Amino acid sequence: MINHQENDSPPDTLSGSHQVSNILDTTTTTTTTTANNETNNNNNILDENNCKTNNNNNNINETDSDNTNITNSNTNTNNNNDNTIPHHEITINNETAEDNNNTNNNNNNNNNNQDDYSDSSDSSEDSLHYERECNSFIYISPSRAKLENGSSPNQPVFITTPNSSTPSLSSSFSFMSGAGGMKSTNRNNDHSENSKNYDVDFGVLEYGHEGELPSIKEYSKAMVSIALPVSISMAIVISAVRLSEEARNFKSVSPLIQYDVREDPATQTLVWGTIINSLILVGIIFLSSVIMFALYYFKFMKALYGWLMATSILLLGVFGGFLFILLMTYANVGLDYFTFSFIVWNFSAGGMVCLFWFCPQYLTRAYLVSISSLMAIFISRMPEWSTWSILTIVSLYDIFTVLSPGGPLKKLIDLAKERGDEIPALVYNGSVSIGMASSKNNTTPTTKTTTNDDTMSDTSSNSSSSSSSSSSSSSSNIQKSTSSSSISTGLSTEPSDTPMEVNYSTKIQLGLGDLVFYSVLLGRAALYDLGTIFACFVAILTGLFITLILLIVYKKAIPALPISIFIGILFFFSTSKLICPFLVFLGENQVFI
Amino acid sequence: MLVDEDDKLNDDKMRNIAKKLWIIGFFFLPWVWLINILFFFPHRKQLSTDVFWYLKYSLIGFFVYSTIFMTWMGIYLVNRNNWGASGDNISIVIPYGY
Repeated sequence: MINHQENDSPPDTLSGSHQVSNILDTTTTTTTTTANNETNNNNNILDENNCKTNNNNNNINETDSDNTNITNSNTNTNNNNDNTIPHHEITINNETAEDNNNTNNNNNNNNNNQDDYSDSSDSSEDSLHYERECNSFIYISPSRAKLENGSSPNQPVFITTPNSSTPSLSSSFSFMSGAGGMKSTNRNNDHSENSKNYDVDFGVLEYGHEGELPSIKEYSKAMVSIALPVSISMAIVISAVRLSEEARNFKSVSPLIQYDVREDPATQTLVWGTIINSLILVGIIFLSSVIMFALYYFKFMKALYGWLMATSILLLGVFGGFLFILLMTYANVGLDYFTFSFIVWNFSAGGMVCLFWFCPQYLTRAYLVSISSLMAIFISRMPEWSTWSILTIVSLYDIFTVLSPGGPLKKLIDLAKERGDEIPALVYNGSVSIGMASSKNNTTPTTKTTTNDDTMSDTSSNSSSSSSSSSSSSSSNIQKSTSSSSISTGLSTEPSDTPMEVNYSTKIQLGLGDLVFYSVLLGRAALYDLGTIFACFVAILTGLFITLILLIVYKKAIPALPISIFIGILFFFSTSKLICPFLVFLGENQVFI
Repeated sequence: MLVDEDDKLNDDKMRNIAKKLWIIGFFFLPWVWLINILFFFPHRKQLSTDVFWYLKYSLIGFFVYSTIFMTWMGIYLVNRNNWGASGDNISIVIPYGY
């Protein structure tokens, strides 16, 4: 399923309420956030009024910034420490912090901002994090921006990084971003050590209306961020299936398959056998979702992570090792036990580090894609009609589990949202942050927009807002159930803004299960001709894009499977049964139309 | 996932990460050592000397393990035929034709 969540965080509260918002982020429940919104709305007004004064403070601070920076940095660190405050103290901190917001923190933030500029001019390595988060689709209203900036940008202006004149679509999306426009910003990413919360107290951002759609550029970035891993995993599955001639013969069938219906059974056996096969698979998925929800509900986090890690390492080691042997057999290269165990051990153990611990983000994404494609390769080794029926029933199950009130996945997501956690499951995070902004007052053209996607996700500012939806907190994670058997997708869009530079961080989370079943369909289509493969490929991507549009419109978690799978199956049969024979007929008879 | 993605890296945390990855790498895991280096590579200008020490020996260890591994692979691939039955016994995949 795909989830899109709105943060209540208003960009408006530039002020120190940002720290407050961080606190809310990690710990809020929905009830607290909604209650806070009302109070924060009042603060918005104050903040808007204070914008001018804050700018003035900024100018003042430029002169005597040396002395003030020390004190400000101290206060800033104190505020950051507040992030770890446990849940029940939130409201208290809110009040105090809100009191401080309009006075002290603004100044502090301005000073820190100046530090940023000096640092950024020194070295591009300093990743400055403007971690304000706001509603996902934010526009600077031209009128307001005109007040703040002195220049009226009728259109959003891309902030340029100091070292490049290209628009800085800063993203930490170094791995998947094929787009050349993102290259310049790759150095900005990362788990930055010195990512302090810099709040620039400057312009007021206004949310778009609730139903307002993102611009084409944002939308296309989100498309690319999700379409790339899907495409890569589908391509891997296609090539692997076509490489292994075994897949045609179905020498070994998945142990989950109860009825072996490959050879021309009677119709009754075909129908009931495939339905029972798919019901078994769906039952396993449902069971694993329920178990995961139970573990998460009772906070057996170690068991949960142990389960996830065990399934991941088994998947990487066993299936990866099997595929490795298959590739070596295909390449006709000798392979000994020592080499094999060394490579597989490194691959799977490194996968544990990359999936569950610190690691460059591109490696995490690469491992997520490889896990899903490995899973898909070995699920796709099923009898044909079982595959179609499994795809269909799993799609229907996906609708149920994501949308219905009693669905385990929906309950899991809601629970994680309440706790402010990120749901513990394997989810592909495609996030794109787009810096859109107007530079302020012509000063310091070197504004660097950095977004650390990771840091962004959890820091959402809930503070004030005129935000469109009163949806709850923050880190909208969605997720989907888990590891191998999981089918879901979560999508969340999270926005982040900095006043100076508005960072849109559109965070889209796609459950690995969706990747798996997309790839299963392609793995089945890979046994046919190339026309069918490309038709299914395009169909899956089209369905994915339609799902993304729905995600943006409805702004909640959406099952990602049904539309894509439906279109994919439709195009598979129409292409393989109608179009391809028709084209062959035309070619054989030399008919040109 | 086990870590908050929100976490900020400070010196202690960086040293902790580098040390743990360095220790993990001793279990015949040069890939983890390489991950260690790749993870800290964007931060290479801000590393403390401790972290740098771990990274240096991670790199050295990576090359040592890789050299041993590559050497063995070359020896095996070249000499498997000459080893006869013992060469086949340690093989998972025996290529056709030679």
